Amino acid sequence: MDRYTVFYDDECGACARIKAALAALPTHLPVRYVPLRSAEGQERGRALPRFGDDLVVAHDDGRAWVGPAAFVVVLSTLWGLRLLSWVLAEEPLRPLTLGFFSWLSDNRGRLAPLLGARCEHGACSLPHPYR
Amino acid sequence: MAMKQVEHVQNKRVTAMPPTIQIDHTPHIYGVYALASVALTVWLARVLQKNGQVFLERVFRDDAEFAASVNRLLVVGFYLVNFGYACLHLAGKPAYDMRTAIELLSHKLGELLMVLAAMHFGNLWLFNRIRKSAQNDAPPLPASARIAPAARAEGAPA
Repeated sequence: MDRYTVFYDDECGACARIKAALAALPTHLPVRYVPLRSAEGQERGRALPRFGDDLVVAHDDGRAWVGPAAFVVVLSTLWGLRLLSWVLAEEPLRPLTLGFFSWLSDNRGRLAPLLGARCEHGACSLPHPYR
Repeated sequence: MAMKQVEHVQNKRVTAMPPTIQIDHTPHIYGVYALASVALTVWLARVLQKNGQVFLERVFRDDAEFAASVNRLLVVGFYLVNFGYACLHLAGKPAYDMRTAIELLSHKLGELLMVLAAMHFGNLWLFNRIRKSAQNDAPPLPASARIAPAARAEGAPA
């Protein structure tokens, strides 16, 4: 059975808000949301360079998607959005999609107030390591 | 001298002929084009809707309502793109003879048919993508990294 784990930054207010919204949506595959700094996050993410700097989605078998690609994989697990995720991941839309999610990730600090969220300890302004 | 006079009279007769009346066939072309584009688009959309419904119901066995919804959205998109293109493509040069009129109509219909064909194959491609993504739950993008499998960290508290 495919199961995905989303490692999100729980200190980033915007990330936590988005996670809460996503977690409330129905999925067609089992998805767990685990904070990056949790014991499981630290245990599983140890092998990944700069783990904790960006959203990471991991399959139970160890395959991982980092940064913008992780957003697309999260979309693909949501009920009714799988088709959209496939279309967005196809050429010629793929660079635009990845660029959009990259921009979203880079600007999470600015977007946080729009979502009514706060970013403690500057967590939302972490540099994007996968540009 | 007499010959010159005759030639003069003939010349006068030629110039005195009424000018040829030029009929602009463009409105007729517009009418035929509009009817043909509506008929072709509606026919193809119905074919797509009928066959697409069967296809999507088979793909989304667990959710027939979702299949019907996707199908309707695809057909609406199909109508919008094709009618939009047909409207934008209506304008053309005036055609004062039947040959030019037929060529103009043929050109316009040919371009419309090419767009319809592109949309049709685009829909087939999309249906194929839906089928593939529904058959396996593989993610849309390849993995970019590897971390420890879940089994090793299963016991770790979240």
